[in-house]
Amino acid sequence: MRRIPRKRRGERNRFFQAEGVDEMLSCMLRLTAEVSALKDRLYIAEKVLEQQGLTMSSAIEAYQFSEAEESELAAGRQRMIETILAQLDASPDVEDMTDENSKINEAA
Amino acid sequence: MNSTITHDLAVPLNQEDRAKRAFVSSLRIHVLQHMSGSMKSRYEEVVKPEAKKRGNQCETAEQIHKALKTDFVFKAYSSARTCAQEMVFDVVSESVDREFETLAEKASPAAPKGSLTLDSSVKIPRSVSEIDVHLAPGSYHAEYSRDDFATGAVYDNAIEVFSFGQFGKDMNDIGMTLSNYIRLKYPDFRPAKILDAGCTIGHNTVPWAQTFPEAEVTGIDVAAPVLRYGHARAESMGVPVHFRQMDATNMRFEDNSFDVVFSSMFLHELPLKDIQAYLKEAYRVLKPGGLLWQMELPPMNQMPAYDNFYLNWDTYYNNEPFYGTFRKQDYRKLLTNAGFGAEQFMEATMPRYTFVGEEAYKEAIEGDNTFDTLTGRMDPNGTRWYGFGAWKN
Repeated sequence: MRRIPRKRRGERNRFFQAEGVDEMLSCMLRLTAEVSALKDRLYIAEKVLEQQGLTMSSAIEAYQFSEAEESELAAGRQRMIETILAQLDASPDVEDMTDENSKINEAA
Repeated sequence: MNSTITHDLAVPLNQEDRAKRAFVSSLRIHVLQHMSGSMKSRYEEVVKPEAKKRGNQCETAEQIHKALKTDFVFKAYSSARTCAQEMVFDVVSESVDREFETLAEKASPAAPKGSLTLDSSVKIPRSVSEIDVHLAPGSYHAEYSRDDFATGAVYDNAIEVFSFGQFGKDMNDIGMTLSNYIRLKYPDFRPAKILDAGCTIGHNTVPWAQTFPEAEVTGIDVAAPVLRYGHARAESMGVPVHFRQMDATNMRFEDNSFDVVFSSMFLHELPLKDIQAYLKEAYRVLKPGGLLWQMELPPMNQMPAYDNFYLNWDTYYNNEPFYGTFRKQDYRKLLTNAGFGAEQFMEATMPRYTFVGEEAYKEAIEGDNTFDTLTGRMDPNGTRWYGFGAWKN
């Protein structure tokens, strides 16, 4: 439950003249915090498994993907890129594509 | 990152909390060390010579600020530093919210050695209520439920992440540094009653009760949530401190009540008229022969112009609007205007007691005062605290 406000009162500091640059940096650093936390968690997961006799680091490096796994990861990467860059996709072309996608989805 | 908070009100942290707190601390170190270093080089090599050509001599903090303000490196530093500051409160509030009920069970100590006296008639000054000080959403007085202490917990945890360990165990270093300075410098002085003005959560009050266990130690603040938390926190450490909700500019104590009145990083958050009113009150409640001491930001007249510009960043961008005006004051004059004798004025810079240890500390405080770029500055390379005070005749 959120009790403590997360946003302070008043105007946010703005240093760059171009609109959105300060906010973009803020989003990027928050995202980096999430990535850093995930990286730390994966590190812990590897250490926990190593304690149980599974040498994770070398097994990870030696791992060979199957074609299906490659596709699965590629699709995941694509989704992530789309999500992260969503705010930049405001051009008419992209909106058109979105409409096209909607049509395809509706047809499906 | 292992937490330096050791008392019972420490928020139970999961791995995600730890990772995010560590990230924000690392980010702050990067901004304050790497980015600020780049900014200084850029200033010396490019910005200053260019500004001089345009007639800006860069002799004062304001002139340097004006020259740098339009430069990319300053913008990047400032934008990143703002983000890091906001993220301190983001990551801390998340865990305080989640663990609030767990903390609530510990917030009302059963058999306290100290006490908590709240006074709902105390008016919250506009310098606290109207500004989200330090960019902390809601500032430090806000209450979100009955008997709330959340902002106290946020403050305790936030200063840990903010200071990346530089405030010492349980954020006690400023209190330990000053109380031990007085103990070692004046071995015959045995204060019986000690007052901390603007004590917030008592992180610098508790050390006085530890350094002078025979003394009765009182902490006052206008904000109830930080006092509730501070009381529970001190009790969990087994240290008797009396917390009272009171405005330092209008104290309820009798004249000549205390042997020591001190504050830590308090004055620079106050408008000048409140600083003056507090110092007069401090003089009034001090016993003759008593000692006033303020741990503070160093005065502008002791520091090079660039360091003044660097320290004063918070005035403009960290919701601490009175910071710069305070640093411009003649501290001796502030005290003499409050009633202290001009010849009684003292000032000192001190290494951090809990970091250097008793022997090195003792040696350092016997030497001359050193003002350098680490004085009053939160830096990964360390810091030197600054303070000033006077005896009451």
